[in-house]
Order: sequence, then C-alpha cells, then structure tokens
Amino acid sequence: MLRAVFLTLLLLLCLAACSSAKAKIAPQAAQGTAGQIALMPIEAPADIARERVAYIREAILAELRNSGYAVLDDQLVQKLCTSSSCPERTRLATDYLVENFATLKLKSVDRNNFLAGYYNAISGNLSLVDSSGHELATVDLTESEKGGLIFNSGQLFQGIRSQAQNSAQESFANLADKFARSAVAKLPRPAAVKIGDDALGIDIQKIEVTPVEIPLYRLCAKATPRSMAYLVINKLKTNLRETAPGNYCGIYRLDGVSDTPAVELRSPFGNSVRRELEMKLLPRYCRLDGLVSLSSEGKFSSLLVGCKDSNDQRCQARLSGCNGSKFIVYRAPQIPGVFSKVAEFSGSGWREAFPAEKANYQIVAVSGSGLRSQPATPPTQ
Amino acid sequence: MKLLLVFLSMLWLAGCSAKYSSKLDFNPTEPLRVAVLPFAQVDKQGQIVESEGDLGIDRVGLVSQHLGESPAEFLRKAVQKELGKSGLDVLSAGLVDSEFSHHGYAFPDLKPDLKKIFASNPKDLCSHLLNCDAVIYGRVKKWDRGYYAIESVNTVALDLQMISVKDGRVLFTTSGEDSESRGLTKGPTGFSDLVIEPVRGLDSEIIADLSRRLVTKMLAPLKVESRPEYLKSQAPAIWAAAHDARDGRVALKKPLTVLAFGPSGMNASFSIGKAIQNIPMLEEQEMHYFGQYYPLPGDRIDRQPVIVSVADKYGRVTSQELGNGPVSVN
Repeated sequence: MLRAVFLTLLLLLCLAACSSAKAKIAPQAAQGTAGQIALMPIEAPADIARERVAYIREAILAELRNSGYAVLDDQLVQKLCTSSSCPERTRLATDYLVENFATLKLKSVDRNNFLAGYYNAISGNLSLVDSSGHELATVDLTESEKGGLIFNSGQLFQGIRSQAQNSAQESFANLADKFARSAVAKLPRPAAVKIGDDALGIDIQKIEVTPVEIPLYRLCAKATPRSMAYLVINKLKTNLRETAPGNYCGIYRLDGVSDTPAVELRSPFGNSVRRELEMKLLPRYCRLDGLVSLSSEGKFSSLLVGCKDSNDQRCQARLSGCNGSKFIVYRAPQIPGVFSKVAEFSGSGWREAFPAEKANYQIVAVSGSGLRSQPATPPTQ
Repeated sequence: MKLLLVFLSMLWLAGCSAKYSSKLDFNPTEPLRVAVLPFAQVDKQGQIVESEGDLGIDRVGLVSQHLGESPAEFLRKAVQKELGKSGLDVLSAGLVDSEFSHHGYAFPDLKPDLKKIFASNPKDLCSHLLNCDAVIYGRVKKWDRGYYAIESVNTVALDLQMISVKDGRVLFTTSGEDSESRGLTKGPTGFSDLVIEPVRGLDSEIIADLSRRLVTKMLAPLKVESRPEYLKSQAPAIWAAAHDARDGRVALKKPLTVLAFGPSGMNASFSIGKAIQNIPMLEEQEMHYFGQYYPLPGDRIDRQPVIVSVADKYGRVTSQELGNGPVSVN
C-alpha cells in the first residue's frame, strides 16, 4: 500500500512540471520598481519565424500592461531603436520619462510532433534594467507543454483530443501567452502610476479650425507636447503632426462627415483624452456643383439652386451647407469671354428680368461669413 | 451497474454542457475607448462575494502550479488580452486600477472596492477618472472544481456587459459557461489512471486553459471574421486607384490627390507609409472616392508607398498599394 502511494506520488511529480523559471531580483527591486517601462526589440535566432517573434512580443507587451506597468507605445520604440540593443534608449528616458527597460532574448521555439504525442517549448530570458543600465531582474524561463497519447497515456480521449488541438493555429499562441505570463509574473511588482503624473498627464487646451480654401480646413490643437494626436473622423484616426512643441496640425475636409469629428491626444504610455469639434462654429462652405440648373420659361431664363431628387442624401447634405448663403449670377455673352455680375439673390431661384439672349451663366455662393464658393456652371440645355 | 451508468452519463453531460450567448448592439469597428473594470465574483443571487481563494488541493506542490491570483483577476486579464485583438481601444488595466486607488475606489491594501465601483455611474467613472467611451463589467458566476473520486470537473461561468458612457446603452453583452473533466469520462487506460487522473484534473493549468477558451469564445462576436455576415457577402474591393504625384514628388502648397474606384458605401482612406495615416476619402460620386493630402511645411517623406484602404460596414478591410509608385515630400 505504501509502495503504491509512493509510486503514485513519484509519477505525479514526473508528469507535473510544465514551466521552469529561474528569477534573480536585485535587492533594490525586491520591494518593487518604477512602473514606466519600454520593451526593447526582441533578440531572436534567425531560425525562429518572424511572425512568432512578433506574436511573443505582443504577448509580453499585453502581460506587462496587465501587470500594472505603464508601457511605452511600441511605435515610438520601433521608430527610435535601430537594433535590439537599442543604443538610442537614453533618448526614451529623456524624451518620454521611461524609467526601466525590458529586454527579451529568445533562445528557442521548439515544436516536436511524434504523431502519437507532442512536445512544444519556448525558451528565453526576460530582463529588466534601469535607465543607468543596472540590472534589476532577470528571468530565465522555459515554458513547455506536452500532450497526445504518449503523454496522456492515462486518458485515451484526452490524448486524442489534445493531439488534434496541437495541430491548430492556436496551439502556438496559447504556449506563447503562457510563456509571457510566466515570465512577467516573476518580475518585480511595479509602483502604481497615476494618470496625472508627468509622463502620463495630458491635456488638450484649445482646438482652432480655420478655412484654407474650398473645401479644406486647417485644424490645429494646442496640447501636451511629445504626445500623439489624431483627428477621429468617420471612424478613422488620421494623425496630426507636431509642427511646434505642443502644436498638432493637419489640413482636412470636414464637410461630408457622418459623425462629429474629435481630436484625440494619446500619451506615449497609452492613456488618451478626446475633445469633439464644435461643428456648428465651423465656417461653412457652400459647394454648388450638381446643385445648379438652368431652364427656359418662354424667352426668359431661370437659374435654380436645389436637388433634383429630394431623396438624394448626398445632395441634400451639400445643399444644407448653402443655408444662409446668397448667390451672385454672372453672365458672359460667349465662351471664352468675360463674366459680368448681373444679379444677386437669396432663396432657391432667379429669373432673368429681360428676354434671354443666348448667354453663359455662372453662380457663386457667398456664405454669411463671407466665404465664396467655387463658381458653378449649370449644364447647357 | 445501472446506477453506475446513470452516474457516468451525468458526469459526461456535466463535462459537455458548454453554454454561450451574446448580443451585439454596436459596430465593433468603431474606435471606442473601453475600460475593463475590476471583475467581481457573484453568488446565485448576483450579489458580490469575496473570492473563494484556491481549493486546498491546489496547495499540494506535486499536483499543481499555484494560480497566483483570484479567479476574478485571472479572468479580467484574459478578457483584457482578448479585447486587444479586437478593434477596440482598451485602456491598460494598470492605469485603471491606479486611478481607482487614487480616487477612493480602493481599500487601504489597494484592493478595489468592488461594491462602490459597481454602484457608480459609468459616466462619472469615464468622464472624471478614466477618459473612456464605454466600460466593461465582469461577473464571475462560477469557478468550481469538483472532485468525485473517479472524476473531477472544472467549471467556469462568466458574464460580461459593455455599457456606453454617452447614453447608458448596453452595447454588448455576453455570457458563457463551460466545463472540463478528467477521469472516467476521458477514457482511463488502467485502474491506476482512474485514481491519478481525477487528481491531476485539479491542476490549475486545466481551469486556466478552460477560462482562456471560454473568454475567446465569448468575445468572438467582436472580431470581424466571426460575424455571420462576413461569409454571406462579398468583401470590399478596390477596382482601381491612382495618385497624381508626377515623378513621385509632392510639392508643398499643392495637394496629393488620390482617387479610388470601388463599391459604393465604403469607408475609404489612404496612407503614405507610416508618416501619414488614414486620410479620409469621400465618395464624391457613386463608387468614386476622392481624397487629398496637403503637406505641412515640416512634413518630410522619402519614397513612401501610397496605400488605399476601404472598409465595409462589417469592418472588413481591403488595402492596395498604388501602382504608380512611392511619393516624396521635402
């Protein structure tokens, strides 16, 4: 009986081990460490597929964020670092107040399928150093998984099931997620970072929109320097450029949008603020193309401004931009020729006061704020 | 014998009783900023309870690796990770927890005050603390490990709810319950396995894997490829596209014009390398998309490709690099 218990326990011991991790924590980091970190490019042997290296990197980034670290935006790291050792890292410390640097050196990614069993393993070293280069922690880890009938000899159905699961795409992803989780779990606990802290505190002070030329507006946001600013428009995010410290600008069309656009400011550590544009305050352009038609009433000509089809949403949206505008009529006797002003009207139509000679017309809309549209020529009859 | 067969059937059914349901009431391609609040473990009446902690068997070093965190913490991390694969902009858990602890939503030991968080108005949490558009609540309804001598069963049940801060609407709700068993129902190959496998079935690794699978299936509706319309309709296409930069040079004070021809009603944009992202293109006439990039004096671009993208209402995206060459701005 005792022998049976002993053998059972020994068997369990042999079968249990899935992850072997050796962690060394420096005394100064034993109680915790600064929370603002950047993950350096991964060092990996050339025989590991780049897609797998990229997946493991994403998994480590997600685990670091989930564990309470404020992690620098990966785009900034990729932009600055020219190699995995990243000699340019001091700029990350000075420009973005990064306090610690995490580096992952992948040693191997093994997938071994024995038909009736499998053994997969990821092996690597995750280390944390401070901005002076002192090592705070290092974790040497091999995360493995085994299955199939060979390693599940006690469970027939489970063995077959696990063998089938191993052939699916998700099996590498699951192992990589476990590797990331086990590695990051061994790192020192990060100190809590507050959104109001220097590196994370961001604010949009002002948004200015000025017309450039029809139909473009220049948009500039005054906000916290060294952040990333976007215009969120029609469910897209387009980047504003920092033309001066704290001044983010771009030139865009702002008519024809389905949702209210907003400026989003994102700190290098991922938190963000948004402010919507006050569309009512934007100077509106009136765009007459497709809205003007010419008709004859006996010997008189009439110009009409409107939509032929009242159900045409695009046309109606464009017409609404002309609300409150007045229209100036120009006429030229022939083309090419000089157009002269002949009339001005508000409302939707104008009728020539004298019998019409054969003439060519153009209409220009002038908004309440004085913005002039491009001239529109009605289609010839 | 009959009793044994009935018992086995019940155990087998217990291991095969996966239940999932979800309801989606928003477009998951919208770049919403979402905060995943700390999860709570709830009882059958839906009242928040303290975490049960680990089962005693979990502390036996030979059998299992210690999970290291409560079921609610573990599931929240799994949800956070899975949401990162969707189109949502998910706030970092560390920032969310930190803001809660700094603004009176945590106890002195920094554990979140779940009752206070769940009772608060999401608008207050997002507007004053977190800067988000929606919050996700998670309720762990089951985290059970049952040992029945010749069988052990792990069960996890979770409810998630995403609420818009703008109008209080429930944007997405999903529930899941799933089980994993070891022992008699998985085909033991010997009498010793009949004893050993149920004990091995209490390994934290098994319930952890089960939880991750549960969360993946629950959040599948947020991914474009999981939506049923994805297979029923044609993906968006770009039939033709071009830009007007002569010799690939974009002069300052003159725009780069990009035209694309594709199905009507798409959300179109173009990018120039990584420097200029997602300039919107408007459908000026049916199927004709038009966009312009106006360089600013400080813009510097050196031989970068112009890439047009169109997205349909289901979030499927097609991109194409323009064939008339890269462009430069200097």
